[in-house]
Amino acid sequence: MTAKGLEPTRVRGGRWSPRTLTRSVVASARRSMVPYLFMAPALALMAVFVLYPLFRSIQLSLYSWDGLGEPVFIGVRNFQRLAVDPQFSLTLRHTIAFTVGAALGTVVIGLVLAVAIASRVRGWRVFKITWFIPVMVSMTVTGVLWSQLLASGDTPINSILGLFGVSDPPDWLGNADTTLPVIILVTIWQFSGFPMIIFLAAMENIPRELEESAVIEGASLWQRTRSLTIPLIKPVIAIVVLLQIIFSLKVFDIVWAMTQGGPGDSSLVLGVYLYRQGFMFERFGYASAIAVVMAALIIVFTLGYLRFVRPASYEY
Amino acid sequence: MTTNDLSRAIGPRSARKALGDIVRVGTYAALILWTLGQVLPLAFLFINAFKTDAQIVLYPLSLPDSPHFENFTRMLFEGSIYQPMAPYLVNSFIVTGLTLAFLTTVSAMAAFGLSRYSFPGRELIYRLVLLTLAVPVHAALIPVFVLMGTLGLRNNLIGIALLYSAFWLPLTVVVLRAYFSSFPSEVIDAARVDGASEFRMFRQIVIPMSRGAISSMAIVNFVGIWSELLFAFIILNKSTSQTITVGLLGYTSQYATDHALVFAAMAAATLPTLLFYLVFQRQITRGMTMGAIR
Repeated sequence: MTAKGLEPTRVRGGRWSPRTLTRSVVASARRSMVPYLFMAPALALMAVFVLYPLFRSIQLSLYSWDGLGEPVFIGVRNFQRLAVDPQFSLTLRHTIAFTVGAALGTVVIGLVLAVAIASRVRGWRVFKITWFIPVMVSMTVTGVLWSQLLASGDTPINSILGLFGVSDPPDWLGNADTTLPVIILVTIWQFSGFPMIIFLAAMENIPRELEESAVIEGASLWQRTRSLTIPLIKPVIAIVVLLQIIFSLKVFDIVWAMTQGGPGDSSLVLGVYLYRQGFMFERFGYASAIAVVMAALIIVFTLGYLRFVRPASYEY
Repeated sequence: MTTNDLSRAIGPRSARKALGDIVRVGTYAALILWTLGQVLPLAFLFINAFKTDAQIVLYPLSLPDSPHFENFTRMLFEGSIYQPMAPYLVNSFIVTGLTLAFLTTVSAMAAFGLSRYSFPGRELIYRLVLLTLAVPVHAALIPVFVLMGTLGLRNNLIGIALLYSAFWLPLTVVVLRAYFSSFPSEVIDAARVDGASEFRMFRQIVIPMSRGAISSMAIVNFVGIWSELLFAFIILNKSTSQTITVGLLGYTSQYATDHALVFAAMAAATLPTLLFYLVFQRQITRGMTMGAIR
């Protein structure tokens, strides 16, 4: 069986002729090429558009360059400037605040929503569909839409607040104190459905009998959630928290569409600062240094998180 | 105060039951409130798309006096104070379609290669894919901008489709690799015995049998690619090649605002993914779950 299908050239008369030898070498070379051929297009794409640019970013972070003339090598000066750049430290603080707020908000609300659906509240099918809809909307649309809803004057949100007696609402997106919290809330509005759907999938993997025996023992929904569901889906929660944190550290679209980082620098986050430095001020070297810090931050955080939190695979 | 204290405080069983009812009703009210909060802003988006500019400004919460469909024809073909949106929409469909074609083919092949053969360098390549998964796109932004200029691919729809394919590749490969790892070996062995070449076996047997997983991934990717802003924003700087997210931002960056057109444009940018979701709900949740839980 093996001899016939795979190695037809080697057995002829028990002797190697030069011709059969060549043929067999070619055939086996061809076979061992197969996996590489399968991967060649993907590797080419990644090499050109991902790996090379990443390498170039690191390189460019050591240069001063406006994108037109010759790049000038300046060593680690970009990083030294970043370390004392007050706008950059402000940006870092905003990014961390956004990340904590958005990740915490979406995960907690997502968990509550998932528990509600998993407990089969009345109308859960409708809830499940509607609570995921905002995730499908592009962040750009969300940003523009909420800017309209929150604009100053007799706009929808203010009119609704007026019904509850709020007569003098702040200019939500024009006031340095409210912009960042508002953007965080809008992000929670849009993305709580994502953790929800993942948690729900994990909850549906919990063996029925466990749930049923807890019900028979008279455990309330709250008790079952706290001491059965959450411990069992803990690995998934850990992964979703990580995903939401990484996603938040990279945020750009929604901030850009709502405030472009303003007013002033009040909602400046890493993604927007990088864009500003690179494409508005044409400081390619400095922007690359920001990119390197950002990537390092995310990679170091991810590795540390995976090491200490260890979201191991399920075991029931 | 624990439940026990509470029940002692409230007294007999009927009171405790009443308390439970209150909690239940309160929770349910909160769920309804969250639902309204999720749906109403989007309803507002689509309702305002049918109102005139004056109606939107003066009566933001009212229904349209009559549906002003002309908002859509104006937004698509005239644009009045803005650019007409039809070309942006067409570009978005072209870019998304091209990307999905490239991405799906290339990542399915790579995932199959990674999961079904053992060869030197396999671990290394897989690690590389995982690494790029964690790296933010921002880290490559400036070199990509320069590179696309050098290659003459700025404002080129095929160019940005290749770029998107490269950046969506890692996640798609990781998910499909996990899927192919559990593909039945007997089927593959049977095809080999029949003398099919590896590529023919892949194309005519593996792909058709994996349609579910591959299309789930494509549907999830559709939503992300359709909505992409950052790369489009820097790579596509001629209005003739821009996608709808960039076009929509153009609608908000002017001094004058025609709200009716802004809302119609938002509706046009949202409808494709929304309809997609309502049709392919199952695949989307499945695709997203495959990505997070492996």
